[in-house]
Amino acid sequence: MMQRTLMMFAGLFAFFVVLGLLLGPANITLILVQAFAYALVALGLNIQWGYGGLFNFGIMGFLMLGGFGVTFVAAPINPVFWGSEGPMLLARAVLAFAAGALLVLGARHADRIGVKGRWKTAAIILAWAIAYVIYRSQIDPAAQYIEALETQAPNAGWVGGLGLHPVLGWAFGGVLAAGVAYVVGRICLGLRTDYLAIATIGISEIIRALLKNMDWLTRGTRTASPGPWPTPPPQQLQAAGMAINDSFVYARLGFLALVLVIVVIVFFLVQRAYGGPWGRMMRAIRDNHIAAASMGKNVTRRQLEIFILGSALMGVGGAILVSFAQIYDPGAYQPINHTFIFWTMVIVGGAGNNWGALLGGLLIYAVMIVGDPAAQWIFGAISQFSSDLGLGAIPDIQTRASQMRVLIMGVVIVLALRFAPRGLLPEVMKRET
Amino acid sequence: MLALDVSLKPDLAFNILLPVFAAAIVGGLGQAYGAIAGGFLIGFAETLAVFNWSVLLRPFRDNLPFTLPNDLSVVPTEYKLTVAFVILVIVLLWRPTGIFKGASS
Repeated sequence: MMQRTLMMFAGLFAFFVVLGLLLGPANITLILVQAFAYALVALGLNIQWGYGGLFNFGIMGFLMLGGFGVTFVAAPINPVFWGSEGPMLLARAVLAFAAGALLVLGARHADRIGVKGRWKTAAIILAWAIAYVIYRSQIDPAAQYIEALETQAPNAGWVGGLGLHPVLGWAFGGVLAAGVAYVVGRICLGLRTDYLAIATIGISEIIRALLKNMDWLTRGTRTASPGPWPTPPPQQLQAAGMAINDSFVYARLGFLALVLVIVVIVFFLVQRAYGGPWGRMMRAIRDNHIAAASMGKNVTRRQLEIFILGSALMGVGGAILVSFAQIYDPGAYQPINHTFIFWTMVIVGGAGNNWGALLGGLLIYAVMIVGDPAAQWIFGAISQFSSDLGLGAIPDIQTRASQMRVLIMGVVIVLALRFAPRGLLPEVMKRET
Repeated sequence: MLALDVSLKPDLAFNILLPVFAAAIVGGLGQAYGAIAGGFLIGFAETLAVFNWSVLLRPFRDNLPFTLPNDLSVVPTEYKLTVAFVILVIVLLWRPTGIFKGASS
């Protein structure tokens, strides 16, 4: 097994070296930074699914929350907003939200004043409706006012950021994702397999709709950019007298070093957790939750723990991706690119094995990036072949080939699963003899 | 039939896939009547939630005690997809296997 792991990683290393020689140092550093960020998210999913057996199909939502976290913390302060009545209006909206929450909480404890049974249910529904109306009556004018600030100055129609260091933003993104995961977990973890999967898809769609349409908070589809880098950006290196090409390579190498430090620390910790008593308990719950419960383990509580932990890693990964791209565009998130790709990584790499998740993350990301030029080349060659035969070239081959990236991805997944059904680096089951 | 309502595209299915999944699960997996009920529930809720009720009230605008706002829908139009999932989550909390008690594994 050790040998297989080494071989796989040697193969991956060789693949990246070849890519680097083909694409040049500036591109390969870009690919590596993003690949490691994706691998971090894949590690998070590996905790949730590989360790705990939880179906989380809402990864996109946690990535978006992480991205929003880093945008909110690290984006420059927006003086127009703070100088206007916006903060006052928002404070009123927050107060309205608190009042609504109190109302709902009060209705939930209505049995203490003698309101019981159906009357209590009716009271709760009424309280939700009133709370919604109160909140909407305050947030709508506030949102309209803040978005109208765009007319006063360009890029002013949102609350702006706090202007802090992006690494703080990554941490905040992780905390935000963890907080939402707590709420989601409390709601959904009582559900079994397929129901949990569809509920998490639903919640990630809700998060996406909210972040995409709350222009006053995230600038929505108008996108918040450019965000700051935690390490010196290329422009700064150019100002210090570096050549343009070199500046991109060295700036990305600096970013890569920071991401690598985070990935190594996280990997070390989750690997230790896997072998420890906590990891054994998680596997016991995954393999047979009824038996684990009969041994006195609090299954729901432990699953909540693991759901929050994995989601926090997803939030950090999403924050790193946004920070690196310097743009937060909620309209660009798609379930196919930001949820199912991570499932592919974990399944192809090997669920339950951290080395497998890391390998899968790096490999699938590289295949996804290379898939585009590879598809162009393959279909260009086919078109050339058919025109050489006298059948004529395939019409619009350039635009059609770019759609074929998905096909290349699909072929890789099918081949990997055909020849390694449990992943490239399957989980090692230790058996006591 | 859906293509009559919106435009026909190769990725048409993906926009409708999630609400349809939601409808099947709301009704209860493995229950034919549940699927029908879930589909009607999700479909009507989505449409009525974004419906602008002031259109109905506009003929009486002179007799109303308040001035009629232009837009009186329950949720803004851009949150149409959200409605289906909010209903899904609420139903799953209330009945963890759907309204008609579907299959559970």
